[in-house]
Amino acid sequence: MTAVGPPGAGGATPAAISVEHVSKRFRRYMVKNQSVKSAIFKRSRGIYEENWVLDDVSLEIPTGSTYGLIGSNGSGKSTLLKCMARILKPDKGSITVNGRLSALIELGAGFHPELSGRENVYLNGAVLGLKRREIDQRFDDIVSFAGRQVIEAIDQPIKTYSSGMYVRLGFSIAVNVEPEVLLVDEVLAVGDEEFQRRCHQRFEELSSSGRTVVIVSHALSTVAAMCDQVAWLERGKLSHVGNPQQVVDSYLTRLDFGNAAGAGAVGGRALPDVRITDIALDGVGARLERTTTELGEEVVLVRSGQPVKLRMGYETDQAVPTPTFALSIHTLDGTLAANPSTLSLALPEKVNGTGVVELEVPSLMLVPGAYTLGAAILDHAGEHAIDKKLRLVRFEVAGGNPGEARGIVALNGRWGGSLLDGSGA
Amino acid sequence: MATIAEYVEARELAKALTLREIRGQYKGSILGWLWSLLNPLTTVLVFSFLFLVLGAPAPVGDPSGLKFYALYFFTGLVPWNFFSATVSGSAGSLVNQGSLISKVYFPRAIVVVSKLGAVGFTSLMEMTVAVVLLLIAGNMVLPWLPVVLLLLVLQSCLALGVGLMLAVANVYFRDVGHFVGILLQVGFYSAPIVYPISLVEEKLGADRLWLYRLNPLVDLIEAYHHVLYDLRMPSLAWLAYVAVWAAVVLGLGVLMFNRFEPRLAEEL
Repeated sequence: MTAVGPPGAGGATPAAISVEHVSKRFRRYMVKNQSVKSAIFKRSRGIYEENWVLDDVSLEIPTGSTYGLIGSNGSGKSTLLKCMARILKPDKGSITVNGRLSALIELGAGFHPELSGRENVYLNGAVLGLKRREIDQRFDDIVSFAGRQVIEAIDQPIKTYSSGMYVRLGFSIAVNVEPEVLLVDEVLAVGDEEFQRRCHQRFEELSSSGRTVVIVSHALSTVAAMCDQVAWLERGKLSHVGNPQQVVDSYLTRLDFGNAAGAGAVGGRALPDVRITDIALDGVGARLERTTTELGEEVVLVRSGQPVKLRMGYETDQAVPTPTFALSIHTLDGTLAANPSTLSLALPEKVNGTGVVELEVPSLMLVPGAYTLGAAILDHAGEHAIDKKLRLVRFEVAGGNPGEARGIVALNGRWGGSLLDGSGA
Repeated sequence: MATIAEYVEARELAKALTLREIRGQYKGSILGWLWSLLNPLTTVLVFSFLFLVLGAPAPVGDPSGLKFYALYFFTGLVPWNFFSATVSGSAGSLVNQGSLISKVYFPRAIVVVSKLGAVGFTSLMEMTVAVVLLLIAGNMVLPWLPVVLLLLVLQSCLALGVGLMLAVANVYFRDVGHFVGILLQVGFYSAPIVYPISLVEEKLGADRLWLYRLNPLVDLIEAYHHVLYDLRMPSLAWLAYVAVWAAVVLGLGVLMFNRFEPRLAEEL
């Protein structure tokens, strides 16, 4: 996956959105006096603590680019989006937006259940800043984009719509507003696959026609594929900005380091203390080449179908019952591609000191692309994790059969049938 | 704080939200608009009956000579309902539109303005009925309608000012709505709607009547009586007094609203 540079970058076009030293503080109420009575008697509006949801964030979103905002829950990405949309006002700093902005934070904002689909299109259009004349022009596009079901029910009250129809109608209005800057929050995760595909198409159309799209999402693969640039927010601070794939990668890596579980007790029974010392991916007979990314991450290069050895080291301070060792290969969007473990294997009863577990793979059946290798040590039954290091080794698969470039697994099968045997016409 | 240009830009939204309110109100009821008229008409019937039973004389229109208590009451009730429904509706408006406010940006006062618009629409329907009834009773009110319109504008400013303040207050203190209900009830009897102003004059004495008239609602309602029931020009001096109230209240309302507007989305 290669990132496309934003069109017009480096030119004299001003940024679509420039965020300058923005900080936002939220009050979290422990006690909230929401009535005049209690406010008078207790002489305060409540007890609260303030915390900074955004802390000195500065960003430039180039005009015409598709920009992703990622981060874990509570990282402030949605707050930042709401500040851009002017729903919230930053406590410090400023945000400048060039061009008409439309924010897609909730689909069908302001829909009235008793009103017909038609009336609601006009209502929601007005909410999103369209004039009546503009909605007239777009009306047919909006309804046809929403699909056949909605076309048929357009004069029925919207309370009779299924939730799918409701969302589709809301979405079609929003994307047909044709703003110069479109802010999208998480709404990509709605609708069936067919509708999602059309949404993606629509976003691509928008961005190729020079509009700026800002997306907040948890769907990392989508973000990596669609965006020209990605910003990663962590606890209200800007952590990384840049190439989508690289930012998503380092985000995933950070996520899993944070998760590494130490030895603990489960159900009153102590888990054996075994730690992962290292994880490696080696060639069989030959060493594998390595390269370094811009972010300083080391990447191992493999060819599809090549024999490889996956290895993990472990250590213990004392003799413990043998745990289960597991390896995991993830695609970059977080899909688990393979998860071999020693669960069914007859192993010695105890382990002590340091050691190595190795898995020889006669042929690495992965299609070309970027993957990560991780490892986990689980209890004997394979139920509880003792130590986990996911996505530790980055590797890139190249080459292979050009006829097998998509999906995850390269079957490396042999084609046959009458056409290939020569017995066909 | 939203600029004036933004409000101009958002007039389509104001229209759409007003229509939403008006349409939503009567959708799903077969009688639709009729319901909105039935309510004040019932009130008129009840009070007229009471007045009859008490044996009080109906106020006589000067110079119209009209002597019909139900019509006297109705000409005061329609503007009162306009004021009271706008104020109580505005108070809850921001909280009711909370999901919209926390999801979309638009100048927030639009919510209160559209409430005023929707209530104003209903009031215009009621006013039309009142005018028709007055015409049937022989009061030629048509030449006075421009003055009625002027009064409605003046009253809208007053109601909008109060509405803006209460809407914001209700976001911070959710029990404001209850207080408003009680205050409006007091307000209803504080103005010459059920009774004629002459009744107060008798009890209070003509030289102390100004005390009663300090309440801007008194002369506002009395102006409607003068124009529609008596068919004469209301006291301009007292109307000017009401206008000053309206201007001050609206000014304060706008100031207070703008002060709290930026934080509304997070407080809701």
